[in-house]
Amino acid sequence: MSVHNLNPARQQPGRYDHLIRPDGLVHRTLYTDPAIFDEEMRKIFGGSWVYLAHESELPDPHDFKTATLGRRPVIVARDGNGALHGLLNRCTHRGSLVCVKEQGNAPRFQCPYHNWTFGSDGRLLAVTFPDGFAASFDKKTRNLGQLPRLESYRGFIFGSLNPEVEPVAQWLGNARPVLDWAIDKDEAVSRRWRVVKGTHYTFRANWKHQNDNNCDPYHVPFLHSSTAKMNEVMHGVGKGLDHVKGDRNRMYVQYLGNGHKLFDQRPEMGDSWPRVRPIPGKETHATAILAEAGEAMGAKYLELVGRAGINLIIYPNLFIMGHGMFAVYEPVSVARTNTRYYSTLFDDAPAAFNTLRLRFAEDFNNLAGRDDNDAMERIQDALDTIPEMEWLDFSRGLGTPRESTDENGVITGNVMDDTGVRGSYLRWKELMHAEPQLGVVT
Amino acid sequence: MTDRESAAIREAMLREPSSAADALHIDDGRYAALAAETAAAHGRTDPATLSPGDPAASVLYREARLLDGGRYRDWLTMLAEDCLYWIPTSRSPSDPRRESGVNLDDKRRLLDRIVVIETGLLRAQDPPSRTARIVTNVESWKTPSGAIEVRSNLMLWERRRGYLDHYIGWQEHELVPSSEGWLIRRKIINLLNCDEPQGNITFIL
Repeated sequence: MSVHNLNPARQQPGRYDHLIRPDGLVHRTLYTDPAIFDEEMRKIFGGSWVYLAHESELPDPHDFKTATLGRRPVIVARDGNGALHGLLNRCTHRGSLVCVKEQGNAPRFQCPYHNWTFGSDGRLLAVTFPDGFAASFDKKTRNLGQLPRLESYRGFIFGSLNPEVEPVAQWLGNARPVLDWAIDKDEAVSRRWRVVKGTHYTFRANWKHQNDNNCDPYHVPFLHSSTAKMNEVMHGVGKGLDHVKGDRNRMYVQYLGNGHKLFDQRPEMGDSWPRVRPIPGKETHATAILAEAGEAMGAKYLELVGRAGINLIIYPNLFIMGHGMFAVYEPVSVARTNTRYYSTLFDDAPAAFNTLRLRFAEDFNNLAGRDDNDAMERIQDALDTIPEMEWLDFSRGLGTPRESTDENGVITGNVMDDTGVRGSYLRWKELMHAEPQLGVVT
Repeated sequence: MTDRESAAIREAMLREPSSAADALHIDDGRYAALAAETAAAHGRTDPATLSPGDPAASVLYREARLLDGGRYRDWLTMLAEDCLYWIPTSRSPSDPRRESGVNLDDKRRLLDRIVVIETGLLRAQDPPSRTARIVTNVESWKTPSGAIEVRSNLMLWERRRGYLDHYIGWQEHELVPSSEGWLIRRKIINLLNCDEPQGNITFIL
C-alpha cells in the first residue's frame, strides 16, 4: 500500500508548488484557468484511473455503455466473448463519433459517415468500396483507439490512457476496505445488482468544487439549514443529516492517499432506516417488503434503503455513498461540471425495495443538494471575476492537535476539518507535476 | 451636435404639451390606484371568471399563474390528496419503479419542498427564481370515471442571478371533480432534455 505524506517537504518540487501552499491556501487559477483545465484532462483524467461504468450496466456479450474519460467520449463494450474494452468513440477514417447511444447491445459499430464498420472489440471489420484503397492499406492499422488499461474492481470499471498506471486494486489502496465495506453490505443481501441511472445535474463551476464539497461536512449545518429546519418542524428530530451539526463527536474525515478521501458518519449514525424521511410510499412499501420477505429479511432490506453513512471520494471522479448510491463527476469545461447519480437495484429483491431505493435517492438531492450547486456557482462567479483576491482557505485543522497519521499513512482529522480535501490537492500537484506518457492501443 | 441643434431640443422639452389631457391624468391619485391595481393583479389567486370554454384550460392557466407567482400554498389547494407530481428522467412512457425522477413527489413531499422554500434559508432559492411559463396546445378528454385527461405544451423561462434557463416539454394533467371544482390528481412534466443533466429545479415546474 502506498503511503502519501502530507509533509510538503517530502513532495517533489514542481511548477505548481506556488499555487498550493503548505499553509493550506490554494490559488484561484486552479478553478478558473482553461489551460490548467486542459492539463488536468491529460494528466488527471488520462494519466490516472477514471471510473467509467459498472459491469451490471453491460452484463451480456456485445453490451455497451458510453462514458467520458475526462472530456473524451469512450465506449465501454463487451466483445462476443464478454471481454471488456475501452474504445475511443472516434472513427479512424474522418474522426466522427461512431456511437451516440447511451447504452445498448451492438455486435458492430458502424460510422454513419462512410459506413466503416468496427467490431465490439474495436477491430475494423470492413470499409466500403475497398478497391479504392492501395494494396498496402492495412485494416489492422485503422482499429478504433483503445485505452491501454481497463480494469474492473468488484464491478466498478476504471480506464486509463497511461500504460504505466498501477493496478486498480493497488491504486485504491486505503480506499479499498471502505469500498469493500459498502459492496459487502449490499452483497450480503443480494449479488444480483443492476445499476440504473439516477438524476443528473449540471452546474456552472469547476469539477474540483464538487470533489471538495462531498468531503466537507463543515458546510452541512449551514448551507443545508433549510432542509434541517423543515425536517425538525415537519417530522421531528433524527431525520436526514441532523447528525452532522458540530465538531465534537466521533465522526471524522480521512485522507486515504492517491487523492482518495472519506467523510465517515458511521460512528454517529445508528440504523439507517429510522433516519429515512417520509419518502413517497414509505409506509405501504415497507409493509409490502416485510410481508414478502418476512420480518427478519425484510428488516435487512429496509436497512439498505437509506443513507449508509460514508462519503467516499475515489479520486478524481467517483463518489461512493453506499447502499447502492454513487455519483460520477464529469468535467465539461473549466467552469461547467455534470454530476451523474446512480442507484443500484437488486433483481432478486421485492419490487417495493427497489422502488423505495429510487424514492430515497431523489430525496436529499432534490431538497438540499441544489444548495451545493448554488454555493459552487457563487464561488465560481467570484473566483472568475476578482483576480486581486487570489486564495481559497483549506487550512482548517492544520497545525492543530486534531490530525493524526496511522501506520498505513491514513491521516485522520476532525469531522469538520479540511484534512481529506488538503490531501486531494497534494495528489493533484503530484499528478500535474508528473509527465505521463499517454498512449492508445490501435 | 451643433449649438443650434441642442438649443432646439431644449426648447422642445420646455414647450407646453399640445393637449393638456395628455398629461393631466397622471396625478397622485392615479399612482395610488396603479399601486392598488398592481398589488391586486400580483396577488390574484381566485379562478378566472371569463376564461375559455374548456374547464381544463382554466385550471392549467390558474396553476401557471400561481406557480409563476410563487403562491405555493394556494397551488397546494388545487391538488387532490392522492396527487402525484413527476418529472421523469427518461422519455415517456417510463416506469418510476425502475428509475429515479428529477422529482417524484406525493402531496406530503411537495409540502416538505414548499416548507423548505418558506424557511427563507434555501440557498438555491436565494434570490428566488423568477419564472414565466407559457401553457399552450391544451387538449382535453373526459374519461368514463368523470375525470379529465389534459395534454399541453410547456415553455418555462427561469431568470435567476443574471442567468437565463429554460424548461421545455409537454405535460399530462389528470383533473378530478370535487366540491371545490377540478383538482389535479396527476401532473407529469415530460421535458425535452429529461435524460440530460438538469439545472436548479428548486421551484415547482
